[in-house]
Amino acid sequence: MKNIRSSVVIGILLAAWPASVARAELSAGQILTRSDAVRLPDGDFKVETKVISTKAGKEDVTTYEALVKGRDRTLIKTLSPATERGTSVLMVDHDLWVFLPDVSKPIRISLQQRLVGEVSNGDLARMNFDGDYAPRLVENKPTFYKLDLIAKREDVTYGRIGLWVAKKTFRPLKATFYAASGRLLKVGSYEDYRMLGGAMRPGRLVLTNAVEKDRLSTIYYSDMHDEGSLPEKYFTKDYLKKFKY
Amino acid sequence: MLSLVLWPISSQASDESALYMRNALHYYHVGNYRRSKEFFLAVLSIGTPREVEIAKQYLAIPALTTATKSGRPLPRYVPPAKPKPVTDSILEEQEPAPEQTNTHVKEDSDRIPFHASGNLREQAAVRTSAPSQLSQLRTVGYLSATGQLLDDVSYKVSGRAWYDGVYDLTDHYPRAVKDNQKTDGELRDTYVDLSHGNWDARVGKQQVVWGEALGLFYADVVNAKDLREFVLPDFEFIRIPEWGTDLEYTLHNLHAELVWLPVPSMNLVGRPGSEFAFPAPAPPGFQTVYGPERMPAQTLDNSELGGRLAYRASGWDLGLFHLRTWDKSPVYERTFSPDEMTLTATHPRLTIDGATFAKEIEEIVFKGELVYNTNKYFQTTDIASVNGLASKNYVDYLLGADHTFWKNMNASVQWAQRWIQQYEADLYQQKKIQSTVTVSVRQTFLDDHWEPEVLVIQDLEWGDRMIRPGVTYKITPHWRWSGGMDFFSGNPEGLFGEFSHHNRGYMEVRYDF
Repeated sequence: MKNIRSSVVIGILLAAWPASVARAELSAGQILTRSDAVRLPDGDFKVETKVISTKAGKEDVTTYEALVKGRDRTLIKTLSPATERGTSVLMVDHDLWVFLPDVSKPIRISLQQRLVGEVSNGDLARMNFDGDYAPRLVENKPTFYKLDLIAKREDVTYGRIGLWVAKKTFRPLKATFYAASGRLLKVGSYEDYRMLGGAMRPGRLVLTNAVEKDRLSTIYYSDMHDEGSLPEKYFTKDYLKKFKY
Repeated sequence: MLSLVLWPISSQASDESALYMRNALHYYHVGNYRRSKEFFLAVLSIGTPREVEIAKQYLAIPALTTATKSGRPLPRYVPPAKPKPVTDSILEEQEPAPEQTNTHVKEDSDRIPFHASGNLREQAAVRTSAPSQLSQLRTVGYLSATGQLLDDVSYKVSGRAWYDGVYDLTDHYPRAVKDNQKTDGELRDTYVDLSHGNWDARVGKQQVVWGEALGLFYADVVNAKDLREFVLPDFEFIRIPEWGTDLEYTLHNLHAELVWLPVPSMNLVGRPGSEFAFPAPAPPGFQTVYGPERMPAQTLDNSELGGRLAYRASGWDLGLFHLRTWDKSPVYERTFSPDEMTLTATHPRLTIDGATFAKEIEEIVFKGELVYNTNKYFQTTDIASVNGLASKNYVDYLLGADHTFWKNMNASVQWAQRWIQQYEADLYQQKKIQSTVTVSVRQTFLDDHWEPEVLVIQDLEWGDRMIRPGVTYKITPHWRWSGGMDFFSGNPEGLFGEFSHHNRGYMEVRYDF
């Protein structure tokens, strides 16, 4: 009886709750968290990525296998082309190492070093925005949110990111990436939503150079699946030499 | 059920949170408070503000506050192909479709399949110093196979072979050099990797690489080196894989390593008359002959043993190591007879202790190495010395900084110094303190297809240097071409100046598969 009474009270209260207030109550942080959840699964996962860099009609294709543990550990193995196969990039927090087969040891590098085309190490290795950027809601339109993401630290890939997020599904739609100086570096478009890792996620991210519009890199995501719990040791620089290709 | 009627399901609620809310209310009303609580808790993280408010109200009800969770995971929400009306009745907990299952069971097909790879290189070099001549026309083949035998057991087998046609096409080099460098064939990295929890072991022929520096061997002390071409080839080409066991333990940020090499290998150096033979430590006025090289006997007592501890903390890569080894570079014992002097290459015992660090600060990667060598034998030109050797301790230390400019210009500066303790002026080609500065710049152009680079190593005490401008062109995903010049100049008694008559131009075409 008590339970039914409570239910009625709650129901009456909620009936009087203006529906239009519901979505507007979401904070910028909540929007960003949900958008990150659309792009990335929870837990440890593996995904194959193909990066096609295009300029003036010419293409370069590089394929990677990325292993991700949590939100701050990523290992990227280069599978092709043959000239690059065997190169690995490891990111833990904001520390980055590269393993080159011709050197046979891990080398400490910085996030700013470019991986390929318009793709930086941070684009592939540091996938979540939530941990690195402080969000601010700048636009709240009927169909989308626009967030301004300001870098929380100096050593993240970008100084600022503009992010458009679909209102109903929290899917990221478009992003603009800025240097710490404020200069627009590239524009990203999240496309081809499909089932990846048990949810609808962008199958393609197109990064266009802000100045040279004919330079773009497209990141294709495929074969994403849950890996249970990946061993911690995989994400240490001393383990990089162990990976087989 | 009243709550369902009075809870207008907003079309703005997400399908997933709406599902969870309906399930939560359903289980509440059928008395399954444990399951209801789990769904309400899920709504807290993904629900709309109104849904969250409802969930909180229900979770405050005593029947739910006292309920313990069942521990069963909530079903993964699968969006329907066509949107269903939100006024549907309670949805049953969905079994995810097999292809959408959240759990990926490791199967045999997940093991690394057998994979073969390798490369074929054609290398040519021309000495540009007088007398100018062809110095290399070498074909090198490398083949590697990797695979996985069990979940925790994988392997690698690799080998390399070459033929240098310059020794058949010309008479530039003596017979001993031709016999030593015309052809080569060896097993390279060939090992089994075993893994169990935090433990890993690599057993077989392998390279064990320590240190943070690039372009120089300071803390890179475990493996012998092939120095028949000085330090000009890639380091992976120079290092000689050795038979041994590398046992490792990893726990969070701590890494411990124990290395045992039962069969020590020694550096390969150019024989007299070769392009990069190190000059003999012979006082003038004597005819010099070379005795057979004395190698340590292959016994357990003569094996090499070392260990390394590495720790990562607050962005710092820290390392300590200790190695009981042999001096892999030949140290020439000298004996005199009435007409000649005999030099016999030996390899005394050597103990090496070191520390390394690396840290990125303000987009600059700083790195350092400190290496202490105990009981290193140096050549001496003191005629009074019984065997021409003097034992000293010395320390090498290095500081370096790497930075990337404009996203694709990588620049590196390293300053290194050697300090020999109890220094004597008669030590051959050694000063009490020797300093070198290394500068390296590399940049990519034309969509990363062209990569010019230059490496400069300047010895501040001897006043000699090595300058290596070069360029690599990636022709296709399989083919690349590289070429450049190697200049040596300065004091002929210095490590680089002694090759000042061996400047050369080189090129290589490489196919990777």
